[in-house]
Amino acid sequence: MSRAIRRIYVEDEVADHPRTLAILERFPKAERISCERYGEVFNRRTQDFRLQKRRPALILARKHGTRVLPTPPGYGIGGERNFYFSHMLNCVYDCRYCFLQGMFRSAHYVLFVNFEDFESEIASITARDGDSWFFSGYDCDSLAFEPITGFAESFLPFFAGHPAAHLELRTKAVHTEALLDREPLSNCVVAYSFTPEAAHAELERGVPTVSRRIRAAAELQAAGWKIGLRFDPLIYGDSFREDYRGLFESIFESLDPALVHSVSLGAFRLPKSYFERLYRLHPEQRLLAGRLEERDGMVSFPAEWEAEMTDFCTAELRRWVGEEVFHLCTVPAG
Amino acid sequence: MIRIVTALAAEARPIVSRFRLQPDGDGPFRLYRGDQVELVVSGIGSSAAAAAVGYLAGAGAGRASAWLNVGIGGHRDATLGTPRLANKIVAAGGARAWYPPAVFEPPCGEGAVQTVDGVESGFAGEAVYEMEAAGFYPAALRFATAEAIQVLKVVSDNRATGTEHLNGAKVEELIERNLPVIDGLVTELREIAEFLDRRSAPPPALAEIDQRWRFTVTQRRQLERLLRRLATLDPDRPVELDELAGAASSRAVLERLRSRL
Ligand code: SF4
Repeated sequence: MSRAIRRIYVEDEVADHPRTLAILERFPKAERISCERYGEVFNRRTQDFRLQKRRPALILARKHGTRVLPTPPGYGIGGERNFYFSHMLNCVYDCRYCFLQGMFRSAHYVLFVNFEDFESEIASITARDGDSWFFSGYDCDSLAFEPITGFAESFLPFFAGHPAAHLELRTKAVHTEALLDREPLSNCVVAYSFTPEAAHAELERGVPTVSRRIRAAAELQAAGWKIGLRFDPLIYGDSFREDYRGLFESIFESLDPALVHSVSLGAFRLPKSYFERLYRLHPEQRLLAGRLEERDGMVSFPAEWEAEMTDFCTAELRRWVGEEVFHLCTVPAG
Repeated sequence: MIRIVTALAAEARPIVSRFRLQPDGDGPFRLYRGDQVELVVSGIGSSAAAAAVGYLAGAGAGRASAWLNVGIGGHRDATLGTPRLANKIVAAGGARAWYPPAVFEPPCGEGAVQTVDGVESGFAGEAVYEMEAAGFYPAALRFATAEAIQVLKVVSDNRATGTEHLNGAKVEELIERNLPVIDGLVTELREIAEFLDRRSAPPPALAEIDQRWRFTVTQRRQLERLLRRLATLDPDRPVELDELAGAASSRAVLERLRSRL
């Protein structure tokens, strides 16, 4: 991964931030390019996300304004107060269904180095509202860039000191050292996302295999960490029944279903404008060229397929886990 | 097609000869064409470079294109002849900056390029100082995606050796020496242009069907999307005119194609 970073853009404002300096030290050969605001590089029009994905750069920036936001309705795992925050924009993996490609113009990784400001905002929200959930893997994968960002390494001690703040780390990554090296936190859930083998092979470029993810989740569970399972997006195919049944069996061969913290399901769906951008980037992708429909501004599988998949997967999963851990998600997620 | 803009004829000459370009027409800018490369000599300055981009975009042949600005510039202390691929371009006065992304391994060192309005001798910063990039780059952005636009500057003067030593022959020699780098960039840019071309190429059978029936603008867009989707979903069964032969209207054509999804 580190070999891939050849350019690092650094906002003038964070040039001397200790996290910036530590990251720059890790990439002595990368070209350093100063910029005033990350948007000058990241938000420019006429950029091609797919071309940039060949060789993304890293942008180190400060997150200004409100850093922790209420989640959209339909996003959550049962808590009453739900917030999300993005210490990073974009992801080292390349999932063809990922809504980030529709949302951002650039594939560069933006890392907001002012973790301390996120933490103080989370602390104030919790002090004001009491028990609250904070979702970290919305605009990125929470752990995929951990060796570079030290995100978990920094945030886990913070959450350890704030028991009313609950953290979800949403990931497909398998480097879990930052978690395994410390005592598990009762207010943190590590949520692993899965699609079946066939969908993984076709749609998830650079993502660790399903079996490696299962192994990583099982190791964490054995070490006492709470594990969540995210089947989001559900991908329709002729053999979806066998594929999902096989996936669930593989997972519960390794994980103790009784200890699973939460399970959420969500069908593939994207806002229309995001979908159009995604389609332009990958017209040869079967998923995007296939039968999809627009409903209420969202593009998704036909309603009957969605219902079939959700019903089937719910029934199958109920063989392993209780209803109380189930959540349906209606917001695009990765 | 790769479209190259140089300010000076002396900068252009080695490139014209390397790619066997032929002079073309007698328009407001000197233009050269070859199979894969077109070149225009813009004259000195940002505005001239921007105008030359517009001219070449209008006069050029081919579909998706990539753009390259090649020229000389001054640097504080870099050795004469050093090539620099621009990773940041700052307009004169510092009011605006652009950051050309490199989605390939650059064939030479990279750095900032500072566009100035006149000859620079102070060289306060680390950048290469020159006079066109900040005109060329935003103009080319109107015609291509950022990844397909690059700026290459060759150091022609520095604090120790000023511009007074420069003449046409010397400029030619500096560019000539960097032809391998220019070659490398052209190869990378050609690959990008071909990728973009392939991705946006009209789907098979579009032109024939479009000619046979009368489609509204919206229907034509639908037709194109349907044919593209079918080419992805059913690549072994290309759409044939025969299978649409009995369709009485453009709407019926679209219906038939839809039924194959
Ligand atoms: S879906 Fe998740 S893992 Fe895949 S690219 Fe997007 S953020 Fe990364």
